[in-house]
Amino acid sequence: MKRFIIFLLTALLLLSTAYIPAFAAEERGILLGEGQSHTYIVTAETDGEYKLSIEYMAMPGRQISPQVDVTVSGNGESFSRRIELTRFWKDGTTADRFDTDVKNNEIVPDQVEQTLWQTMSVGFNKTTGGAAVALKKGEYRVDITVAAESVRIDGVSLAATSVLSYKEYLKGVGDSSSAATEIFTEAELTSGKSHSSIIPTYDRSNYSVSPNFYDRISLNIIGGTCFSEDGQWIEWEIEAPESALYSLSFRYYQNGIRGLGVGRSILVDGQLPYAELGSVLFPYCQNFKDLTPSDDEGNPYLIYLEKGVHTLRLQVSVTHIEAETLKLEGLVQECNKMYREIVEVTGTAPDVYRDYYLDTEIPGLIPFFEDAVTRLTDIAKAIDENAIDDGSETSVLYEMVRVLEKFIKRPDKIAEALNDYKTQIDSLASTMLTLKSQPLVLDYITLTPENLQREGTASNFFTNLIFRLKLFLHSFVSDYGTYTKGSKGQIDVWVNSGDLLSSGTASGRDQMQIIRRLSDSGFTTNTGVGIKLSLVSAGESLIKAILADRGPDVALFVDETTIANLAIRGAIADMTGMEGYKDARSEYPDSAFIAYTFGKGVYAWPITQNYSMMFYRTDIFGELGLSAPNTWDEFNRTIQKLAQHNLQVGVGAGQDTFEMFLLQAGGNIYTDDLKGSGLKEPQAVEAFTRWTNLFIKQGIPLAYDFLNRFRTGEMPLAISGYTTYNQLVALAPEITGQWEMVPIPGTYDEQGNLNRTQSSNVTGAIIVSDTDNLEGSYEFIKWWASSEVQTPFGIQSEAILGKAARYNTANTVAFSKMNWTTEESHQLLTQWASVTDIPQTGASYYVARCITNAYRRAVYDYENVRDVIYRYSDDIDREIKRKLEQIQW
Amino acid sequence: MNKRKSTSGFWGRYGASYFLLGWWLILFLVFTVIPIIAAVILSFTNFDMVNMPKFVGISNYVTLLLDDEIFIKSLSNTLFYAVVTGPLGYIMSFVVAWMISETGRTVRSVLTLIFYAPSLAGNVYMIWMYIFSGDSYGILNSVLMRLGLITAPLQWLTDPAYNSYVVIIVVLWMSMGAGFLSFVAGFQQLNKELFEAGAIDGIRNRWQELWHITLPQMVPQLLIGAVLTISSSFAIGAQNAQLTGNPSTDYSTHTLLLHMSDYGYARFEMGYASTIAVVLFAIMVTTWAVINRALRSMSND
Repeated sequence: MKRFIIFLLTALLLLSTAYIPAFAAEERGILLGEGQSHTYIVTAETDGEYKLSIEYMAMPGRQISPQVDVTVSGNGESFSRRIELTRFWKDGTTADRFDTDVKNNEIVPDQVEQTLWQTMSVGFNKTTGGAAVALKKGEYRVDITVAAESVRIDGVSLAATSVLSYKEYLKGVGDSSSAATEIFTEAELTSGKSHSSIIPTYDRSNYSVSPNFYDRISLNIIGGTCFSEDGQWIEWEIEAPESALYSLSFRYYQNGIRGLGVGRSILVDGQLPYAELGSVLFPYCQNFKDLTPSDDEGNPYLIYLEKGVHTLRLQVSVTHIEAETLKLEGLVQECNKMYREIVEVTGTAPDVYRDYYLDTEIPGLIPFFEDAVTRLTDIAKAIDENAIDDGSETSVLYEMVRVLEKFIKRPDKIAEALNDYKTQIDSLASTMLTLKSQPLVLDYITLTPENLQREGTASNFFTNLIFRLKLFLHSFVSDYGTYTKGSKGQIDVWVNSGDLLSSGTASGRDQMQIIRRLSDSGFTTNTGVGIKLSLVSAGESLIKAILADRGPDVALFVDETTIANLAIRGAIADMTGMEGYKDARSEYPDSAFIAYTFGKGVYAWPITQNYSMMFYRTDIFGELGLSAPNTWDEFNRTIQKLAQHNLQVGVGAGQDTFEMFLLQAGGNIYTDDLKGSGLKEPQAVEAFTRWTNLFIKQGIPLAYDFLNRFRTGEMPLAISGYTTYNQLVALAPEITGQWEMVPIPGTYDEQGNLNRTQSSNVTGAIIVSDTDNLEGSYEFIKWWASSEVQTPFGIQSEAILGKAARYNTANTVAFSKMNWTTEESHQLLTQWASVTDIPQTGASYYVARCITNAYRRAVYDYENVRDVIYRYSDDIDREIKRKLEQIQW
Repeated sequence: MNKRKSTSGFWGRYGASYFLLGWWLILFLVFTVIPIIAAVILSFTNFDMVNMPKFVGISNYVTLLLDDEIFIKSLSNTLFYAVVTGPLGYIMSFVVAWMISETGRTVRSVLTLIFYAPSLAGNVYMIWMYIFSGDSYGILNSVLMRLGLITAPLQWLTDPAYNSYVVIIVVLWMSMGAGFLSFVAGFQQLNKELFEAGAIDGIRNRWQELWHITLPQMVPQLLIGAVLTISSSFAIGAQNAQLTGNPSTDYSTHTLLLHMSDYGYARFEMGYASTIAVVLFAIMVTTWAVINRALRSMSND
C-alpha cells in the first residue's frame, strides 16, 4: 500500500511537471499554464468587423491542443468564446516518402511536434463562432485564460477583416511569366498539420489513386474524419518553378455531406490571398474527383506565386454553415430541456389514454413550440439556400416541424407522441453533428500555370478491373503477419483483437502497427530478439492453439478468465521468474495483479485496467439544486429526488456492481483460502440486499441505453466503466461541458473513512509455458510493460484512432501522460487508489452465472434475497468442491 | 454393337468407381467418422484441453445420467423444443411449399427466397434482440406499454417465464431451411399423369389428391426434410445463447448442445463434453430411425 501511494505521488508529480516544461530557447511572450490568465488591452481603430489575432507558441505537453477561454469586453459589450490554439505537427519520416516494413508496405510515420510561433485569427463570440464580430471604435479588454495545456502568448490584437476581393488581388500581383511545368504534390506528403491525428492512410479501391501498387501498401491519401473539425489544417510545401499565376486543382473524395459540400479555406504562405478562397466548397462525390476553385463563369481562380518555395495550407472552414449549426445547437438544448419538463409531468412512459393538460401544466410549452417551428423553418431555409447540390440534410428539420405543428394543434396528443419528439431531438442532434463535420480526403494537388491547360485524369474501368484482380490474387500469397528477424531467435506475439474492439477502437491493425514500430526500434535492435506479430481474436482460439501446440510465445490483451483457466492448468509461465520483476512491477498498482496471482506465482502482466466511474449531468443537477452523491445513502436519496422529476438513474445489473457493495461492506466472493463461497457471510447478504434494492425498491431501470439517455438528460446519473468517457466525448459532443466524471459512491467505515472500493477488469500479457524462447519472451514482457513503451503506445493509439481510443493503461506512469485534463486525472486517480480486484479461481465462470441468476430471482420474481443468495452460495460451494477434485488453485 | 472390353480382377473392375468415390470417402472419414470415434474415446476420459486425457472408465456416463441436474434440464428443454418446433416447423415448411407451388414461376422464386432468407442469412435472428429487448424502448415492450397492457418493461430474454417462448418463435421463424427447399423442388417434379388418372378414378377433393397422390410421390423429399428437421431441432442452441444469454437464467433455455459447449469451453472438461455429444448423437440416431420407419411405411401404403 505504501508503495502504491508512492506511485501515485510520483504520478502526480510527473503530471504537474508536464505543465511547466523546461523551455529555455526563446523567452518571448508570456508563459501561461493551465488555469493561468492574462489581460491585454486592444484598440479598435474604427467601427467595423474584427477578429482576434493571437500570436502564440503551444508548449510541448500532451497531444491535445491548448484551449483558451477568451473574453473581449469594452464599450458596454462583452463577448466570450473558447478557442483552440492548434499545435504544429510533422511526419517524422527519414525517407523521401514514408518508412517501410519488411514487406515494403509503407507505415504510418510518428508524429513529431514542432514548437514554433504561430498566428491565429478567429472570431471571439460564442454565438457567432469563428465569424468576425462587429465592434465600435474604442478600447477593449481581452482576458485570456488557459483551459488546457500551456501556451506562450506574445501579442494579442484586433484584426480588421477586410480581405481583398479577387479583382483587387489580380491588380496587385506582379508580372506573370509563363511556366512550362505543373506543380504536383501528393497530398499525403505534408509539411505540417494542426493535429497529430491527421495521418496518411491508404485507399486501394482504385488504381488511379496515386500512387497505388497491387503488391504492397502505399500510404496514398490523407484526411477523412480526422480532417473534419473546425480549425484543423494541413500544410504542404510547394516550389514554384517560375513567378507566375497558377490555378489550383485538388483530387479529392467527400461522401460525408451531400447537399452543402464541405468547406475549406486556402491559405498561401499563411495568408488568405483573397476573400473568394475563404470558403471553397467541395461537393459530394462517390469517387475521387478533381475540383478547381473557380468563379461563377467557370474561370479558375488564380494565385500568384513568386519563384521559390511556398506553403499552401488547407484549413477546415465552417463559415458556410456555422451560423445555422450554432442556432440548431441552441435549439436542440432547449428542446431537450422542454423534453425533461414534459417528462417531469408524464414520466418517460406516459399513459396514452390520459390527457395531462400539458399546455396549462407547462405554461411556456406551446409558445416555445411555436417559436421553435419558426426558428427551425428559418434554419432549414438558410441551409437550403446555401446548398450546392440536392441533399437531404434539412428533411430532419422539416420532420421536427411537422411533429411540433401537430403538438401545437393537439396539445392533448403530446404525451402519446412523446417518443416521436424524443426521436426527433436525437435526429436533430445527429444532423447537427453531420453538418458541423467537414470530412475531406485528398489524393493530390496540382498547381497549373495560367498558360498551360491542365489535363484531367479519368479512371479507366478495365485498367481498374485488372488492378483489382491483381490485388485479389495477391491476397492469396501475401502473409499478413509481420515479422522481423533478430540475432537471438524470434518470438511469436499474438495481439488479441477482441479486447481492442471492445474498447471502442475500429481495428486492431493500427495498434499492431504501433507495436511493430515501437518494437523494431526499441526492442529488436537492443535485445536481438525478432518478433512475429499477428492479430488474432484470442480467447477460445488461443486455448485451441496451445492445445494443438501451435500457440504463440506471448499473447497480449488476454482476458482474466482465459488467463485464469490457462494458469491453473500450468499452460502459462510465471512472471516472477522474470529478471527485474520487482522493478517492472513498481510502475503498476498491486490491484492489477490480484486476478493473475495463484499461490506464489503471477501468471500474466497487466496491460489495461478498467473500473467504474460515476457520470452525471452538471447542468441538470444544477437546475434541480442537486450535487453528485458521495455515499450510497446520498445516491439513494438522489435517485428519489430525480424520480420526482421522472428522471432515471443507471446502475449496471452485472457482477461488478455487486462487487462494489460487497467489497465496501468488507465481504468477498470467496473465503480467504479461495476454496469456498463467501456469499453466506452477513456482509455479502447485506451487499446483495443493497444492490437488488436499487432495482426492487428504488425501481431503477433493468435495461437501458446509457449513451442516448444521458445525452437527452433522461438519465442524468449513471455508474459505468471509465472508458465510457471516450464514447461520450466522441459521440455526444453536444453535451460537452455539461457532464462530469467522478468516483463512485462509497460507504463510511467505522473510522469514518469513505470507502470507495470496487473491483476492476484487467487484460494481461502472457507467456505460454512451452515457449522455446523463455528468455526472449521475458525480455519482451519487460520491454512492453515499461512506461517508456506504454506511454507512446497509448499516445499514438489516440493520435491515430481519435479520442474514442484513449488507452486505459494499467501502468501508472504511462497513465499520467495520457491526455486527461488535470481535473479528470485527479478524479480517476482518486478512484484508482481504491480499486482492488477479486481473485480468479477455477470456478469463476460459475460464480458469475450464480450471481446473475440470484439477481434475476430476486429482482424479477421478488424472491427473498437471503434465501436466494444462500441457495446460490451452496451451488457455488458444490461447484468449487467438484472443480477442486480435478484441479488445484 | 460395341461390347465393352472386359477387365479382370477386383481393381480392374471397380477401381475407377473407388477412385471416384475415394475423395469423398477420405473427407467423410477425416471430418465425420474420425471425430465421432475420437468423441467416443474421449467420453471415457477426463480431459482439460491442456494436459493429456486421463482414462476414467464410464464415470462420465454415470455422472451424466445420475448426477447432473442440468443435463436433465437441458435434455427436457431440447426435447421440448424438438417436439414443438420439429413437427410444427416440418408441417409449416410443407404447407408453405405446397402453397407456393400453386403460384407462377416468378412469384414462386420470389416467395421461396423470402421464406428461405431467415435461415440463409447467418445471424439475422439478432433482430429479435431489438424486438424482445428488455429496455422500455424495446419494440415489443414499448408497443405493449403504449397499449396499456403492461406498465413496466418485461425482460423477455432473461426472465425464465418468457424466454422459452421467445426461443420457440425465433426457431420457427428460421425453420424454412433446406427441408423447405427440397419440398419446393419436390412439388415441381410430381407426375401430372397420375393426377389425371386420379381424377378419372374418382378423387373428389384436394385433400384426397394430397394424401393419395402427392405425398407418396414425395417420400424422398419428406425423408430428407425429416432428417434435416430432426438434426436442426436437436441442434438448437446458438440462437438461445445469443438471445437469452449463455447460460440463460437458471438454464431455462439450456439445450444439450449448449450444455456440451459449456462443459467444453467454459469449464474445460472436454471428456465430459464428449460424453454429452455421444449421448446427443445416440438420441438423434434413434429418433431418425423411428421417423424413417414411419415414413417408409407410409410410402408402402
